[in-house]
Order: sequence, then structure tokens, then C-alpha cells
Amino acid sequence: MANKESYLGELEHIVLLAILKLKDGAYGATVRELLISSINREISIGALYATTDRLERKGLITSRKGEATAERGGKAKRYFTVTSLGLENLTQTRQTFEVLWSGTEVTG
Amino acid sequence: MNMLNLIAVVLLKLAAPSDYRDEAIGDLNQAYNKKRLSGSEFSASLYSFKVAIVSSIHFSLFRFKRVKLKEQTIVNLLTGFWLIIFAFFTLFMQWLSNLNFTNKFDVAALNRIVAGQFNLVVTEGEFWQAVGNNITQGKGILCLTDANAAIISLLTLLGAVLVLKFTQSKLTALTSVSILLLLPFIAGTVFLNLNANDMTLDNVGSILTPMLLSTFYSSIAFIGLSLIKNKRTHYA
Repeated sequence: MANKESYLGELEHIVLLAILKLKDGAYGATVRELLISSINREISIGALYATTDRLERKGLITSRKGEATAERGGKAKRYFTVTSLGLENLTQTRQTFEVLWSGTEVTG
Repeated sequence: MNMLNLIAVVLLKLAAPSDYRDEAIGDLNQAYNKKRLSGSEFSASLYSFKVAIVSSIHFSLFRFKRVKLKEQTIVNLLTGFWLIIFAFFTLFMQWLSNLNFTNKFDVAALNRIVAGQFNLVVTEGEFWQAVGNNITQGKGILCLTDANAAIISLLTLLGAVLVLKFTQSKLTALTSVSILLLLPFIAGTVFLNLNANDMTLDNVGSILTPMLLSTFYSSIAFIGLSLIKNKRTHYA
């Protein structure tokens, strides 16, 4: 049986995918913007950092301090990168969904 | 930056944990500037304020969960709390053992304590003034020693150990031990209330001292024993 820690929560899943999609440009503001523009989901800054903190503790992402810009009031960015464990976890979650979805029809 | 946005930044600064503070404020500033360029300054500030409020709630929950994860933090908080109680108790016992029956405040305060109005005494400035004087003139830590209280505590602890040995339900055991630890205090309070009219202020101290100290001794001993037991279970 898989450990509870190895499961991806819904928010963890979409944040991880957003970081993966943004590649080298993944930091708080861009992750939030991508989620709003692509799936119309607005998550708060607090919820985002709580999620990335959890993902980092699970070893699914790493983070590093970035540059500060005038647009940000001189405050630094924190860039996120998906680790190989994170990639593995995403693939596994995708496969799980595909297995469950195959042959299932949604009517209504 | 207008007032509403400034409040939003301050709110986020207070709520965000130190390791994410700069990044969170930076993200908020970036979102605010982007909204400002595409719309009005007012709508940008309103958006920024809304984001700060929701984020503050999330950050607070996040911080609470983090604290809950750190067992050591809880132990440190409890130790700090216990030290404050211990310091207060020592000062109170010092004041009690240096009572001056010719002093109007001391007599009135003792009467109030016997009448169960302990809270009214400790909120008075005169009480703390007397406590301050006693720090330099009192008996020091020796005021926390009493032979009668030690005997009562030993009996209480013996009772607690027997209860824990023969009780199956954790809730029943916990309730019984709590009552047992407080028993000398409860018994003393009942006794003082029943005999308030017959007692002189001189002999109230002989009831108050063991009643307070035995509960104090038993609690410390019980906490100590529990910690030792937990440590043994942990390392077994």
C-alpha cells in the first residue's frame, strides 16, 4: 500500500504541473498567473506557498532564491523546479487517472 | 502605493512566515502592478487587499500546522508556561509566608482569599508591591517547603499510581488522577469555607500552605513521572 505522503493532493497536482509547464520561469507570481489564464483557478499567495512548502518537503520540487525587480518592490523571487521524484510522481498519478478513466463514460 | 495596498502589504508581512515573507510580498506587488497597468489603481488596490486577506488566512493555517508538526516547540511552550506559573506561585507563597497582621492590606487580602476571591487580590497593585518587597526580604525558595504538604503529596501520588494501575479506560483514569491531584486544594477550600467564621487569620496559613503546596508538589511529581515513563516507552 502506498504511503499517504506519496499521494498527490489536487492542489499539489496542479501546482506541480504548472511548475513543470513554466520550466525555468516558475515562481510564485507566474504560477498563479498560469493557473488563472489556463484553468481559471485563482489560488491565494498563502495557499501557493503552503503547497510548494509541502511539495518541497516531499522532495517533489526544489526552490532557489531569484533576482529582485522594481516591479516587485525590490523583493526577491523564489524559483521552483520539479525534481526527478516529482516527475515520477506526476507520471504515476497520470497513469492512475488513465486506468480509472479508460472505458468510463460520463453522461448527463 | 495607496493606503489600501499599503495595508495589504502590512497584513501579508505580518501573516507570512519569515522564510516566505519577501517572496509573498514581491508576488503581491507584482500582481498589483500588473492589475494597475491593465485597469484602475483603485481596482488594483482592491484586488491586492482581497489577495492579502485570503493569503493571510492561508498563511496563518500554514503556520499553525507547522507549529503542530514541531513537537519540540510544544514542549518549549509548555515549559515556558510552567516556569511562569512556578515563578508566580513562588512569589505568592513568599507573600503568604511574610504576611503582616498589622498591615491593613494583608489582612483584607487574606480575608478575600479565604472568601474565594483570589483573583481580586492578585489584580491589585498593592499585592505586587508587597511581592516586590518580599523578593529582597523574604525567605526565598524555602517558602516552598512544607512537611505536611510533602506527606499529603505522597499519599495523593500513591492514590494516582493505584488508579492508573487498576483503571482500564484512559478517560476515567485521567479524570480520577486530575481529581486526586486537586483533592488537597478542593478539601482545603471546602474546609475554609465551612469554618470561615471560626478561624482566626493566624491559623488560616497552616491550612493554606499544605493545601496549595501539596497540589503543587503532586503536579510536579506526576509530570516528572509521566515524562520518565514516556521517555522509557520511546526508547524501548
